[in-house]
Amino acid sequence: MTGSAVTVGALTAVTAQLVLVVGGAPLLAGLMRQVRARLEGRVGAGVGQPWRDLRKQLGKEAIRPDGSSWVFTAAPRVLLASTLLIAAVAPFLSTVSPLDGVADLFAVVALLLLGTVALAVAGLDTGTAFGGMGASREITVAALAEPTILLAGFALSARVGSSNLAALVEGMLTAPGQVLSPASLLAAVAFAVVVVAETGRLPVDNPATHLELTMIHEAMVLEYAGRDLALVELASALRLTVLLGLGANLFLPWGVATTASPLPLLGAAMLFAVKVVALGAALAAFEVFMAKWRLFRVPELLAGSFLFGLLAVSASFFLA
Amino acid sequence: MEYTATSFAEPLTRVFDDVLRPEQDVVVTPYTESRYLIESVRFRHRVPDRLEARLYPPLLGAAARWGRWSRPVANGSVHRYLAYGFVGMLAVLVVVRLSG
Repeated sequence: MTGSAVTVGALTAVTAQLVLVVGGAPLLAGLMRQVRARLEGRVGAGVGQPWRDLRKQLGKEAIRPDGSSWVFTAAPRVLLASTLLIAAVAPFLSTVSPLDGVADLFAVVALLLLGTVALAVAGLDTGTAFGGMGASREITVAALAEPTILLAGFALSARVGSSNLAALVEGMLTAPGQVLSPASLLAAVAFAVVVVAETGRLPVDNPATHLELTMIHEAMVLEYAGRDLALVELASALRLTVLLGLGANLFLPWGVATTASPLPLLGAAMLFAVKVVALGAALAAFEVFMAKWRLFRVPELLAGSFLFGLLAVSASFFLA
Repeated sequence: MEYTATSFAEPLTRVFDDVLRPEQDVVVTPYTESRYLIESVRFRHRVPDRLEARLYPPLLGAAARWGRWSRPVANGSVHRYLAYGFVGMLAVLVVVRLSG
């Protein structure tokens, strides 16, 4: 294969990945709601409901609160753009990517935080009590959760000697025994807790709640309507998919293509979808058995996950 | 109602209260007629800089003690300073001799 053919293949891989993630994210959210509904004995709205909601909201006018500034308008776009960038650069389908240099662990964590901060600032910008409350809580949870993502990543990158995500996945692929090593298992537990906290799932936050006083993420976005709400909803579904995908590929890297040729890519896409759907369904099933925790018990959970991350880093240094 | 910086950071302050030790007090002023009728409530919450309070006073105290202790060593006598210089030079010569 010549150089330009490789580039074309890699670009195709990035495009396919973006289409898959953006198209699949609302379906994943719908699937998780459907799993939950079925387990609770309800019929459920169907897997396609989030897409129908998005289509409806995109056709509506975005109403902005009186006195809110451009920060309020810009926040959903910043959130969506930063999440889309992660979805494009992360090694979901193939470890060969023209955007490989951006797919750094630190860059991805910083991009996640950029979206969180943008939404928190928008929540404050409205000047309502619930916006500020949600922003304050979200930042508290983020400040406790982000170091754990970094630690879980460190545990994997100490072995490979690089913080590049594609290098991490490739390192796992070349040494399949590492999947069951103590460092990987501890890091996986830490990462799972962080995914739950970052995406606002039970027991940290209830995505289906209508009680403003218990909200975290939903309280921040209470004032959004119409098109802006659609962007926020799409971005939070994307965030969930991206974090689950990162978890799936960092800790269960089977099936990720190491070339940019079409057949491995197709297989990688199918396996990726299966892995993310399985993880999402498991998360939704787990949520059925959980109640939301008090806000000030959440730091205990996050401190526990931080400890797991720390143990994972120590294990990868001393037991490797 | 809007959030101030202190109220925005309050959950984090509460999470790390063992380290930050925030201080808060509530002053309730009742009417003179009955203590169940409240005229005003004042709430105050601040996070003093614990590091500054714990680190700098002992450090500055130790420096001041050392200064007081070393004051008699330099009492203004020229003969004493010449003796310091002579002893210092001897020490340098011994060190150079031993190391060379």
